[in-house]
Amino acid sequence: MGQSVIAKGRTIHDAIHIGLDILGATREQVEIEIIQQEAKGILRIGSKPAIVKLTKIEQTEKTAPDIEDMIESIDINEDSKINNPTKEERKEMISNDDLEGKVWVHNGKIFCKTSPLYYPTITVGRGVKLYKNNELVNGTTVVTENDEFEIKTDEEVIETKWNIMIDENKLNAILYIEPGIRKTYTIQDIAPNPHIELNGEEHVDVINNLDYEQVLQELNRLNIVYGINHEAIMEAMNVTKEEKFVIASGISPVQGKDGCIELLIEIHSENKKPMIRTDGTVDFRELQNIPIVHQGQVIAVVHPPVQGTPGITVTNETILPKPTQPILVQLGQGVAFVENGTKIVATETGRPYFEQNGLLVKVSIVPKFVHSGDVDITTGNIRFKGDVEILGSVEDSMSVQADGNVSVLKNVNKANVTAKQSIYIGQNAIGSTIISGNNHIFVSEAAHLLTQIQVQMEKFILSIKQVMNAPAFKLTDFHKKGLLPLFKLLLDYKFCSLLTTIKQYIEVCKRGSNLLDGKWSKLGENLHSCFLSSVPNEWHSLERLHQLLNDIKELLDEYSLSNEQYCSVELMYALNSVIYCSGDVTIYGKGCHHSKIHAGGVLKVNGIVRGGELYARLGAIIKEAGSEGGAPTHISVPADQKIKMELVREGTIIQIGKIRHIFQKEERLIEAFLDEQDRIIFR
Amino acid sequence: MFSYELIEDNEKAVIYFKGDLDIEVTEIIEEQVIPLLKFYKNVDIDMSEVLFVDSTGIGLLINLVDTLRNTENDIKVTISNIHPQVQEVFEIIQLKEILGEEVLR
Repeated sequence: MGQSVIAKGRTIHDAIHIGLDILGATREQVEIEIIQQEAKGILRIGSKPAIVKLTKIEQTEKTAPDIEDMIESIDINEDSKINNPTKEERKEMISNDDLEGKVWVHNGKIFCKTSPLYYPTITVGRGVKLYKNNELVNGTTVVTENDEFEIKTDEEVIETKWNIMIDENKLNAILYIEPGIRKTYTIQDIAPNPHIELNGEEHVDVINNLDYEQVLQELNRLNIVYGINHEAIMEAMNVTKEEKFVIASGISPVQGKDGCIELLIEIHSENKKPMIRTDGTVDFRELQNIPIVHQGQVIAVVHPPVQGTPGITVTNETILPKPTQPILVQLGQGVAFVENGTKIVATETGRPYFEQNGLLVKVSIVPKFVHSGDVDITTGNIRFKGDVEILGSVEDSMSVQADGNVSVLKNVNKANVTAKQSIYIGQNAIGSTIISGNNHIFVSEAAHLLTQIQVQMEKFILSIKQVMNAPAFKLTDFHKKGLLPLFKLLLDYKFCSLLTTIKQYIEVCKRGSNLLDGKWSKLGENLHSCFLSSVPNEWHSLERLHQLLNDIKELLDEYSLSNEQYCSVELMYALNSVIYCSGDVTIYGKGCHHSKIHAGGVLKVNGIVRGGELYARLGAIIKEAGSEGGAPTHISVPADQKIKMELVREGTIIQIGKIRHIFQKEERLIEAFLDEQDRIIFR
Repeated sequence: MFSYELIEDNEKAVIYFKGDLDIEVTEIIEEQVIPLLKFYKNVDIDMSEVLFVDSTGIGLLINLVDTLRNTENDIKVTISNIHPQVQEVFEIIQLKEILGEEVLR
């Protein structure tokens, strides 16, 4: 069987021709089989192509290409070839009778030629309205030669939008412009066809009709008079898409500076870490790296406040800069102002003391007392309003109190050392109480309890108000007994914990009466009269209750304000001692045994912690904790802090926030903290 | 004015409180009601006609219940038909927790 091909064409002649081209053969070399005669339709509608099958008579070496592929490729060829001549033909046909039953558009008008058997149709598309005999056509209509047609094209106009906004500070006026657009449609010529679809061709024009005068009027209406940028307005008039222009801008004020104090001396010696000698002992003499100023030395320069420059809004209002405040300097002992209070000069030699709280600054020179031997029964207790340095030890039941730092180069044995600032002990503290910072242990405990009381009292007052507002509640007994019966009812069950807390608070005030400020005890007395009295008194009223709550708030505020960051306690070893410090506590030597330590800052123990209770507000770093079978060791930190331990023995208790953990076996290199679900995580 | 009415059935007594339970009724409760109820095994206090209370009144009620419960008879006391407005006050004070659930249901 020879190579064969099926070819399509407009006529049989065409089809054969195409087939021969593909086969590369002449008419003589092929057998022709006509599969379908062409049928002439009207402009390809209803027409059928001619299909022929050509088979080569001669054998060729080439294998026949896939016939399906062939047909496809032929189709393409045929279309491209045949279409062109038909188009040319169409033009000729316009004047012909072939127009019968067709409609066309020329120069925006509709023409048609009906045939007795065929009426052309028009479908109306977008952008166009077609009126047939003055009636609007929807969808498709039949066209006859007698109809009168009128085509109207749509036109859509979106106006230019613009507005002017003034920003919050009235520093800028912003013109927002969105240019309008006009959408128009034109009718293109459509060739004659039994059915045409009438679509307008869309044209979009951007119209920016922002008017300069109008902008000025609007500016005027908004009282915008300052800093108008006319160029920006011009620019806005020419944009073709939405945009924002700053068409007026004011001047922002330049903020001034509050007064400040510039220290000319080092107040806090950098890292007061003692030197460790090569043999492992610590040289505490080197610790005394305390800054010293001499008589006549300028300590600080006081800078006056710098006024700011006012700004102007776009509406021509003045914007005043924030008022500036001068710094308030309180001079203590040993310092004086010179040059109209712009400089602070030391009048005595000693350690400079500097405390800043907002704009309030306290400056003084702390005098220093040096005690060259031991403190014992022969020397008596030491109380000094400055620093105290003891070159020996503090012996049995003696006490040292200082407003500044205390350093004891040897031991503290069964004694008390209290300093409002830091304490250094060169050797050991045995059976002693070491308190550093203004906020000693009682204040901290009292404040803690007071915070709880405050929260509960707020709820208590709320409950009283609730009861009093209840419609069924009468105040018939108020004149005789005040609110006492109501207090008793609420304290009986609902607020019984408030009573407990108040009792604890009063107890703490009693224990610390000689150390606590009078305000704390006074508050305790008032709380007692109010909540613990069984006889009606003036405290049993809402008014007094509010006043009490207010007193509590004030005291707590005062407490939280106090500046405690520079206190620290440093020593070599502690045994059976109580150490309270509102700052860091560091134990350099062997460690601590059975001691109670409260650190308001970080607690660092370079040795062993065996027994006792340790609390570190800003985290604990401990080399070794716990003992084998000894007294339990309890280490706690707040919920947001960590405990780091190099070695921790079985039975040691750690507490982070309210979560406790007891170590069941020895662990090394532990870092414990709480995760978001309040679980202790070890790393 | 406050008054009360007692309906007894063998060892069980129902006492109907009528009127405001306030400081004015201290004597009535302490001198009349308590001695009257001491000899029953079961006491139900009906509060349906008590529309107002004050804190002393609530105190008296607590005292009444406690006194009766602590007698030799080991009296079972219940309080019933509390007016909703009064119930509101009781809830704020948490009277149910003070007296126990078996008294106030």
